Amino acid sequence: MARAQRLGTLLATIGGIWLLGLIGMLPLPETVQTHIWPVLPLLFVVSLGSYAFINIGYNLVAFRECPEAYHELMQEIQEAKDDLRAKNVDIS
Amino acid sequence: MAQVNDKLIGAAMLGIGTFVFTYYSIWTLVMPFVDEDHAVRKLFPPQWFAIAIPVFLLAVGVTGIFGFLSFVMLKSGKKAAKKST
Repeated sequence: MARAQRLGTLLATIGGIWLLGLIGMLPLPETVQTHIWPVLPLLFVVSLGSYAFINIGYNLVAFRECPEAYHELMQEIQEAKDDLRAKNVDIS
Repeated sequence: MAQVNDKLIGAAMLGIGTFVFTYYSIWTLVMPFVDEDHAVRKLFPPQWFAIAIPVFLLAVGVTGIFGFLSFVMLKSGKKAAKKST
């Protein structure tokens, strides 16, 4: 709950500053005021989405497979299957 | 192999994410300062699309999410009504 409150406060502050800039109370250059400032929330959402994408993609690529652990696991599964089959448990 | 497939998907997502981020950042932050007759203008559509495309996608996405939510809730409500009768 505290973390959500902190995030909410941060978002509210940034939103307030952005609104101030929107109504013209901040000293901004001409092009920034008309073209860039209003688009900032969209840029934020797009950046959030692409950050999530990059995070997932990077973790998929950098996931370290352990071949020895894989083979060991497969062998253990095979042994367990044989053991259970010997005890007349139906395993495909 | 499941690993190669996963890595391909991961690399594709990485590429798409980076491309979308850099392209959109340049589109919104840099292009307003570029003159009309600069060569780089040909790579980017007019500013209007920089706003229209994300807004449209957001509208479609939010509609889809709420539609899915309402569909699931209606289905579970119908199931609960059926069970009580």
